[in-house]
Amino acid sequence: MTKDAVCFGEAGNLVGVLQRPEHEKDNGLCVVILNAGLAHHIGPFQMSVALANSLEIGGLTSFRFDLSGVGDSIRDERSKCAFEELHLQDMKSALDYLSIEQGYQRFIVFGSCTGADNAHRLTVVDERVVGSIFLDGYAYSTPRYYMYRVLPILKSPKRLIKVIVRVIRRVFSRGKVSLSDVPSASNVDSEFSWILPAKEKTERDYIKLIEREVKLCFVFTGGVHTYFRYPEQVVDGFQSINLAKITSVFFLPQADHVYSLVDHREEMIDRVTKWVLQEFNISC
Amino acid sequence: MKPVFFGSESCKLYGVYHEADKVKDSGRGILIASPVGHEYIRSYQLVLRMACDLAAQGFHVFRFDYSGLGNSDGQFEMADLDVWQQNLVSAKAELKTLANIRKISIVGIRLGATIALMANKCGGLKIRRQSFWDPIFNGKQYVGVLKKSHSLMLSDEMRFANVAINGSKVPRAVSQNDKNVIAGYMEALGYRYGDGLVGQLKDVNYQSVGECFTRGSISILSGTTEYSLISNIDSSCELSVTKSTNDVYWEDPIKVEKKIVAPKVMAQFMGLIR
Repeated sequence: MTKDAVCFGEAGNLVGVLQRPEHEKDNGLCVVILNAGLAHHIGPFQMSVALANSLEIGGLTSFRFDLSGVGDSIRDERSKCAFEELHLQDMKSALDYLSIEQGYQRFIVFGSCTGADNAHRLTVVDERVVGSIFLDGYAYSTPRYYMYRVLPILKSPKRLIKVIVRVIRRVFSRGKVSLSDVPSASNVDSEFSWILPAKEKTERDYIKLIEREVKLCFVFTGGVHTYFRYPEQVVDGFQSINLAKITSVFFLPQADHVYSLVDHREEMIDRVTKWVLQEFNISC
Repeated sequence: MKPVFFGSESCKLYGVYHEADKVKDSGRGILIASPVGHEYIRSYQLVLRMACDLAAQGFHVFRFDYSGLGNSDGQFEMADLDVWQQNLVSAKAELKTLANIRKISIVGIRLGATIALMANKCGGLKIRRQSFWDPIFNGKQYVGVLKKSHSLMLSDEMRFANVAINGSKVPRAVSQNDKNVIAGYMEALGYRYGDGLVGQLKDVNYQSVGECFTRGSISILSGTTEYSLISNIDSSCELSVTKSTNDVYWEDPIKVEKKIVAPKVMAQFMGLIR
């Protein structure tokens, strides 16, 4: 195994770690691990390092790095663009570095929470991405979602009264009730968050990804039960397209959003590693 | 800023070297001993900021990950205070090589400070100028706080779903604790502490740490430590203790993942670094 700490990007301000197994099973494929919120490139509770180790055992190379302004990557002061655009450039720089300097041509992008949001954006615009793994990424409300969400409340008079009281209080305290079904996922300390894009936009993105046959893996935790309740929800949200063709979904309801328990983390990493090996025909 | 892997082939350690500002170069180096476990993650940005500021003041700075932590090789559950002391010694050698300097001071935060003190006494670190921020002098209490915070985390309904998902109720995660005790480790706030490390931590006390206050100058910034309890301090040790102006909430279970942003206390600590 080799691990190299590298600086890359136009200004040389981006820092990452390239981890390669002794014998690569696919020397053109690299898994790129993105930041989750403000956690630096080792990931929440070293999740990214554990994933890199697991991939390495499977014979795959990975690259974890910090986006501008996160962890070891200091923001280039010359850059004036907004973080969203800057981070997209950073991700493209990472793929450029891995292609030009290291010879990888195909990439699987892994992202958790805001990382999932970034992974989606990169996957859509960069055709070098052949697979994406989203932890607590996008999911849209469906009738079944509402059923799972509302039924327990209707079944319990105590909870029903609580909800009614809450709604009445909101009406009188603010003069309006927000019934928006647009969820936002945030990490536990709310330092960083993302807003679910409009469904129409995401559908257009998914149509492109289906055409390109990009493989998608969604992993959800119980930590985002406010917007996700059952595995088929990802596909059910898009009835008019064949999203199931390119999509796998894993649901770990016991786990929290940042996998703070080691067993939960190991289970997620095991599932993700197996998915990569299976979907990209890499023999163990 | 230069990220590197250093140390032996069997255990590579990750470190980042911050070169001194060329105009203000003092020819001196500062080695940073970070906290461990969840505190390592919480303080990562703080340590980075500190390293950048010290480099801008003319110091060559080196920060690194202990074995089993961050990018470094090894498993956290196999971690050991003796090995971490040796890691500090390797990091000092790396800083000397990278910066081509001889004079080095050490900055230690939380358990990093305790490890530095121990490494100076018996690990061969040999650094006389030492500055510490909220060092751990009561290991039993430290382990107790870790356990208590972990229990509180497990019962946090905002973190672990306590609702019906996919039509059925999710079992609580509380049983994890018992399982981990049986398996020979203590899980706390995202990390598994091996029994060996827990035992070593519990042996840390005011008397044993006091014996590590040897020759040299030690500046301590602390909000909690009861300094009257420190005993066995070597008479040739110049010790100065400053009370921090604000609380950093290291031990607040609600803030397990909250990044530490303490500009006032950091400025106070930077003033103590020699």
